Amino acid sequence: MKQTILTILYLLANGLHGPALAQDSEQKAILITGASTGIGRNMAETLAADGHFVYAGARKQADIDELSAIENVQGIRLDVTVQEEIDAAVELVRMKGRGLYGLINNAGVSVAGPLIELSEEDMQFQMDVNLFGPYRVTKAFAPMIIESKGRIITIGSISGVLSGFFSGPYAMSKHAVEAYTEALAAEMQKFGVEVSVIEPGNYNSRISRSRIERLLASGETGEGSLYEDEIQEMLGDPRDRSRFKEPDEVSAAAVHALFDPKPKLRYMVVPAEEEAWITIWVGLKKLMEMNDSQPYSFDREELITMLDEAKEVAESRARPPAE
Amino acid sequence: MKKLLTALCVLLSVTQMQGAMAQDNSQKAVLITGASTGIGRNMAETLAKEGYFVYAGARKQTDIDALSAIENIEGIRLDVTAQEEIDAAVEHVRSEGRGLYGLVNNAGVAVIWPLTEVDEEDMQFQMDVNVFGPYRVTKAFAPLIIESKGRITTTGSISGILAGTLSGPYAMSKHAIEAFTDSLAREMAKFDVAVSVIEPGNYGSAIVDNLALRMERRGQSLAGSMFKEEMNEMLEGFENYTEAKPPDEVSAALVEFLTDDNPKIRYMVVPNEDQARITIQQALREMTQLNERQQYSYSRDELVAMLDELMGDSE
Repeated sequence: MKQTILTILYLLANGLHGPALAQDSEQKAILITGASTGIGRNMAETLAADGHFVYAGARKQADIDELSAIENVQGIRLDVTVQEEIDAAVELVRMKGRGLYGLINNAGVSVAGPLIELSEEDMQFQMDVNLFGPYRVTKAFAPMIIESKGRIITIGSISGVLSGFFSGPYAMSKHAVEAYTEALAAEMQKFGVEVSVIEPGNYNSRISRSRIERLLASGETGEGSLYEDEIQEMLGDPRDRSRFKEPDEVSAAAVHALFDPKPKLRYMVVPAEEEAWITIWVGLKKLMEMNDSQPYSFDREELITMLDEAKEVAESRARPPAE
Repeated sequence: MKKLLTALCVLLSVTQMQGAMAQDNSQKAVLITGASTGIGRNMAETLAKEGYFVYAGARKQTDIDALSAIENIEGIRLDVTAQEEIDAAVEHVRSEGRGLYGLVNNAGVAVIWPLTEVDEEDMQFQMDVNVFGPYRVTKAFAPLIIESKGRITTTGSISGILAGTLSGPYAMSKHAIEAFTDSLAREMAKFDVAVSVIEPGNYGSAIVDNLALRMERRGQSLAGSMFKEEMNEMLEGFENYTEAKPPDEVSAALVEFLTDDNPKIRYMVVPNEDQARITIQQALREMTQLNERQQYSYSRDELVAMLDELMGDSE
């Protein structure tokens, strides 16, 4: 049932904005950061196939060339930690004269390790890409997006809610993206710009492999660590996600967030029910921990009333509070 | 440019152990960052009165001296953005021989500015103090805390849940602290170290005074902003802020966390029911937004069942 509704929503979105209708003059331009592999690549191909024009950000020339070879895709050099590359990308997009309707902050990395042992350099890298990246890129492209009353999406994660053993740095960055989205949505509202965050679960992507490769390359063995066993276990488990589902559903959510007249603020997209369950469960658990035994603690009935109100808001529009 | 509108950092200092007074070995030692004013100062005084020995971090010598003048408190120089000061503080605490039972990551600043206009320098400053600060200080003192099977808490905020116009940078940092706490709690469990976050609402705190002051000084720079009206509105709102309750309840939560046999992981401490309601409501709203129109959406009854089960757990 829910699946059906989703499918219909996405079909509608595709039907209205799909290839048949997307003639050059009305082709909408969308920029995606981190588009060389994984979710970013999938979104770029999906949007291009739908007839949109995609500026696909990547760091390596080989990736840029490969992306540019796809119809409706132009690869552009864009490292989200380098302000000059961001500025150059803005220049280029402006010069092209298509405007910019959509921005998808997708570039992300995952740093894993114990918080009390992680080097500051690694922590900085985590935040530089996942937190400062969306902030920098959005700030730079905001004038163009405002001109077109467009849309801004950031790829968050269910780690925007979950945070566990060794995932501290990554979860910190993705929790911050939740706040970023909420505040940006409130601030962009008056310009007619809609803002969303997509929270994927575990799909096939390079993010885990890249993490392990970085650790191995840095000579990490776990030796001397208070967490030696846990680190060795992590290093021995390459977390090959290539058997995981392809992130087609994530791209479908992006299409909805870009083109639906009533986009949602949050799109949790997970490949299996357990991931949905644990995310909602932990989210509720945390709010119960906050509610618990403080002087204004709400009882069951009040909480359920609030839940009903919240559900109504989410069903109707899922907009951020007007503030 | 714009050294932004920010405010209150906190931090600690050195001080040459002139306060070598009470060498009582049963006295538990607690280090608090950002103890010169507001919540940190209130916490330091409260713990000192309770008989703890408090290392109270501050950046300015006058604050360090004022703190050291209080019984059971030793002011120490500690800017949480300066690794050398953190390292020196660890050295100092170690050399004092009291060990360290508690660490309170309290130093914080608030950068309140629209996300599409805030300078990277200001954004970096926000994260440097509020996110990297607790990470750096905790990492540095972890061995001492592990030795004593002690406790670590961070002053978060209801902005760990709430975020809205202008509060982006601050809310991002406090959301990150929620994740920091959850991961750290799991990673410290095997050392019998308890970890929590204390989430105050709007209490009397220098963070807002400092913010308003800086913003007034920067008044001119609002000229080119697309958010002039919102900023002015916020500044007006701050005037009421100074009448806010003193943060005694926040310090009480800290005492509870330090003494309870089964400490909680989250202590939301707000001065009125409104702030509690808004926060819980927002948390529920986020969950329903995640839940709505996804492949595995849960029905109302299923969500209520989850709440019921969680209520059972907490009893």
